[in-house]
Amino acid sequence: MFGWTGKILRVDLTHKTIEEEKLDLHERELYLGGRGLGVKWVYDRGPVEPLAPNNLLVFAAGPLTGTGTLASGRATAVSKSPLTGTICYSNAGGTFGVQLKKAGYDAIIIDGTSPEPLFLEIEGDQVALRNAQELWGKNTGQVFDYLKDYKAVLCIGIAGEKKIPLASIMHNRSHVFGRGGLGAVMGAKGLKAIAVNGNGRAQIARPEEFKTRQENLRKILVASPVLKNLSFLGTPSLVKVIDWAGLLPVANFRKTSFPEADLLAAEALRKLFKPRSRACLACPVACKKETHDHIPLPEYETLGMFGPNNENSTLQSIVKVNQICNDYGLDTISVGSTLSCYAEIRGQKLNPTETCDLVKNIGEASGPGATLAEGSLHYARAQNRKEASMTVKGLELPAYDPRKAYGLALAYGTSSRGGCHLGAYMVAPEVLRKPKAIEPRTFTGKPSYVAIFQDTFAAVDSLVVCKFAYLGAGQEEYANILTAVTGEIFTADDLNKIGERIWNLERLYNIREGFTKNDDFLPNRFYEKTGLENTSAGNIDRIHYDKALTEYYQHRGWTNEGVPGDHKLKKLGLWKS
Amino acid sequence: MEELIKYGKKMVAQGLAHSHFGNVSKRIGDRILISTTGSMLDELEGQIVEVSLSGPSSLDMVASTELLVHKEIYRETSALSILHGHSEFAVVLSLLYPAGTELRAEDSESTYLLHEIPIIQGGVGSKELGQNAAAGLRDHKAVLIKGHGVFARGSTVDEAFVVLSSVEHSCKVKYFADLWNKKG
Repeated sequence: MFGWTGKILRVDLTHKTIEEEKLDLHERELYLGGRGLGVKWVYDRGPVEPLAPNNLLVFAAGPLTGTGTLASGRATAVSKSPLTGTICYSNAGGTFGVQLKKAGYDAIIIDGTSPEPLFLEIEGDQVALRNAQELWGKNTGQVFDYLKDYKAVLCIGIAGEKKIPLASIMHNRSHVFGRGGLGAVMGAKGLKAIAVNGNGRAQIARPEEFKTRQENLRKILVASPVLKNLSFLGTPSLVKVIDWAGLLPVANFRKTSFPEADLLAAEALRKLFKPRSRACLACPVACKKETHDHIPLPEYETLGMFGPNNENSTLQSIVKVNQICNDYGLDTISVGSTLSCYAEIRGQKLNPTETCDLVKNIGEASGPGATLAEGSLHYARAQNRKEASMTVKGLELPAYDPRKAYGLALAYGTSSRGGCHLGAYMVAPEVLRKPKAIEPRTFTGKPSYVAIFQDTFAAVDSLVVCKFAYLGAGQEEYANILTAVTGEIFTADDLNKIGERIWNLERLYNIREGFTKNDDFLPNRFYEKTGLENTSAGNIDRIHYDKALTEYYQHRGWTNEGVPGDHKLKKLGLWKS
Repeated sequence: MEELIKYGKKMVAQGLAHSHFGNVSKRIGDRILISTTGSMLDELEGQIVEVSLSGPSSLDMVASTELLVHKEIYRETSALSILHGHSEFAVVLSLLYPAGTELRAEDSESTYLLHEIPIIQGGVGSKELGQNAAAGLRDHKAVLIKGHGVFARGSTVDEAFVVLSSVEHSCKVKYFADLWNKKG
């Protein structure tokens, strides 16, 4: 088999069993890999509690992973989110996906729970569960030190052990499966880490064709001005770009301008740290930046949430808090947003020292961090101030204010994992003006645009490829490469159809969990002027949003209540009588 | 910024740019004001960004795809404004004459203003195009890019506009004159 290894690992932590299973050919045709297969398996498990033993945690690579395809050095994790109760997928770069494929597996399905801490060791085709007692109670930095002989290590910190819904899964110190609290799922299973050394090699069906397609892709990627910029400056360059577009979140989304933005810009970071670049495997961009002592520097989202959204312009303090989050294994977006919610409710912004202390508290679920660790929605409800939680479906919004980008607003509302910018990545056309510029402040045309982008990126997450590659290349280039790798014909339309199937299955999952149209709206703050200190940003008209939402449902072939119709489900092969 | 907005509108009005194509810039010391990628030149309000000439800067990310070419021209010439459009007769003539040659303006005003117009080549936004354009614009006021369009330079935005507009006028005149000569 080309592209896929055809094997998956099923690890049952309750019974301490490890079984090798064949990848179902029909399933991989319908769902491709990565996010698609993960969502399918998690859906099929049926209703579960997120932290219960029977909630599956899937780590999956894709058919391009390990082939050397440019920007394919990624993997996806899927489970039910303990933060939101929705389906949750999270994607990270690094080496894990490639090492997993080299070890001979397309995916790992983790089931059950172990009362004693374990780590999963994969040394080629030798797979074993090892005692992790020595690692339990330690943060990720120490775990990475301990497991330094492995090419790819995933682990949780203390936050994951304590089942904090804001917990992430860290990978090789600087890559993160960040969103939705999947670190808590890992912690609930008693699984501290997964360490992989692969030694195989991916087989490519048509090597010459692959070489030609890959060269074509390389030319496109290296010629892209946006990717060149990411290569030079990393995602912190977005600070000035998002500020220019008027989308910086400020003071828990109560303001939309931050005069000190330049102090947090990529230029300032460059001046202060003279960063070096770090690339995921098979990536010509190398957008990750770190200090010369290998300390990962914050990405844009972290700068946005701990910077303007917490009214903090001290760059060093954000670098420090980023380190703390990475060490405890915490999602910087959700933690930053929860702290800005906390600051709003108490009526006073946090200073850098308080911020660092509170983040540690959250990581330990101790002191004031104990309630904050449940996320901003839980905290705000407990304070009877639900309106201060900037979440959709319980997931904290990232660092883009939707008031001036209506496609982004609709994408936030309809995202299957909650307030997330990556589901449709409308930042690309509405702000970065790629693949083409579209007028941000209108709903006209946006419902179909959002749906098409959601389908595209569901396929991208299943290949598994970096979204940034799509700022230069497109689905055609990757469909051509997939054809060369697998020897099977794939078109861009084929990939988008798979993406649509995945998106619909995610919707079905959420409907089964009780989510409705009411959960597809933004926090009231964005529809009202009340509380908005900078009125120039305006607000989003709720009636227009509602109309756009209905049009979005219609585009998708869903009912006016957002339920996938039988015709659509039959067409996608999802219909069950 | 107002100047760039004003002349962006004029470029579209005179058919020197169409749809989302074409770009405009102005140099101020080490900074460049330039239209954003994908912007329409008659709707540049809020679509001009300031970037650094000497190195990469954050807003390069949303600047015109031809930013690299603009930078190269500013580094290598004394230009203070650059306008780029895809006017029809200029593109047609660039296809009729080989790259590496120079068009000689033949109408009286253009002869006086433009002299020769080099025809160069290079991919959109590429280093090759930047180098070729800069080399051509050291001694000339405009260059034609084969099958693509025109880069015009000036000490002011107004001057660059006059050059850009004159190139199209000159190419149009030359095209019809050549056609007549062939027919005759």
